[in-house]
Amino acid sequence: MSIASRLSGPAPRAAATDAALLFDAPGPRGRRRIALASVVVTAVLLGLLAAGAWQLWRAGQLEYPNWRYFLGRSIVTYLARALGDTLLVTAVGALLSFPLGVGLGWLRLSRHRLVRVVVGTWIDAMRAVPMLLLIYFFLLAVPRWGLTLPSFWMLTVPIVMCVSATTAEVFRSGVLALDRGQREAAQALGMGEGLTMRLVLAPQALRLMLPTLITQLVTILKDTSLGYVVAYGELMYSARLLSNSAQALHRLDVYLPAYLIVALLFVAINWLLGAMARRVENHTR
Amino acid sequence: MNVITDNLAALAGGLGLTLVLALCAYAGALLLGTLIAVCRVSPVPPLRALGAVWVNVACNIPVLCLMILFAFGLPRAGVHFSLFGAAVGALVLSASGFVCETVRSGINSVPRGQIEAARALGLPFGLIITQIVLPQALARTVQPLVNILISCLIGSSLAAAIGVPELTNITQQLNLRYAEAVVTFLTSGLTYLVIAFGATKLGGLLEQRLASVKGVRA
Repeated sequence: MSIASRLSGPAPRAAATDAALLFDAPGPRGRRRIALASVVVTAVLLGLLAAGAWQLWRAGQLEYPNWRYFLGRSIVTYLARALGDTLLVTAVGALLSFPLGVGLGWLRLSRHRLVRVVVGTWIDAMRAVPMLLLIYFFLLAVPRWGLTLPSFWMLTVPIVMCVSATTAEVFRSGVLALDRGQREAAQALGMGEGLTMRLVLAPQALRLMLPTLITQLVTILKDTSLGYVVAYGELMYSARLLSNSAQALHRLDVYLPAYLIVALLFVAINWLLGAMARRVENHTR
Repeated sequence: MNVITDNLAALAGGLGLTLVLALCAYAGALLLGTLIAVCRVSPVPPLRALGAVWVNVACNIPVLCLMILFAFGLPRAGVHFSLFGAAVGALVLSASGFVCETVRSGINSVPRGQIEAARALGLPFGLIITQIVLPQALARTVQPLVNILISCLIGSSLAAAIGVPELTNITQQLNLRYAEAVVTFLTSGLTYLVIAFGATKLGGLLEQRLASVKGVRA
């Protein structure tokens, strides 16, 4: 089942077979060569890491106070709250955009041509327009008409608009990937269009979608980084504030460490979500 | 409407920069991503580990975070980029992870029997790869690779947030100056839409072409 996704979207998952099939099991000579290559590659990688560390040290980025700063209790609490706000946007975004996306995908499969065209155009548009453009629209244009959203919604509304469109496509391709016999059997039993979808097609499609939905969470989590633009206190914007205040109060330049820590947090959470998606996928297959 | 006609040059410049950003990032990501994919399937364990870590880092960090690290973080460590270079670098890094996974799943999607049959016939490794595996894998990766091109296009808009004057940035500036929100945002939104639509169409053609020439079905 191939499901189209945007780059910011879920990574395509590879099957478990891998390319091992392409090679014979290595003989003694091959094994020796692989061992040698392993040693060389490890040495080169360690060398690169060391060079990077040396460069950081030379620029004074590895100095103790720069990192000690992040162990302070108020800083840890501050970052934890920022992480909480990031997760809050992610959760609200997911809770709003998943049902909306399923609804849109359903409508795109409608029997009425007009509905299909209108909904299809909306979905395609939302998948092709950059989220930042939408965010600028809500940030800079909409307030002129007297509607200033709180920064939370300035971030969440564009996320919901973009992600629900992707979810709609995932749902639609899930339904289309089902065996034709499912729909035919349901109709042979006298079920109407709506009933077929509700009782037969949608439940199976949703099951198929589950791993993709979890990887959609990764997308949403990454999209929350645009809170940096609307001054919402998620991780990216908080890191900026943090480094500003450290500069002003303690004359510490913690810009690089702050963003490295944020990047690590993103990797950790998204890696967990990815592992969960793989588990669910193995489970449903 | 004047806001568009009066600033055609600025908009065209922004559009040009958007296209250059997206295409540079895409080309770099294709090269780097394929290289990483080769690492991931190679028989050398440290290279596999490198590939796995690379994909994990590249796919899981937001592009904006990477751009900020490249543009404002690394200069503090004595590594300097132009803003444009930082934007391209971040996009390349991020997209390379997705290209790697796409290429790898393309290779893996070739049915085992195909490779087993080729090996049973005694075909050498080079022929198996060029004649059996890649033609089938390629036809199947065209659509995902086009999607990555589109996401490079969409992602290039993030460069606006670090101050690269591409299409989104120009739109925002024009909106601030002229207060003609509907016209400015609609124009650039439609522009993105047209480019993405064109890329999708092109990808569809390419896919058909590949399928018909090689006689494989995706």
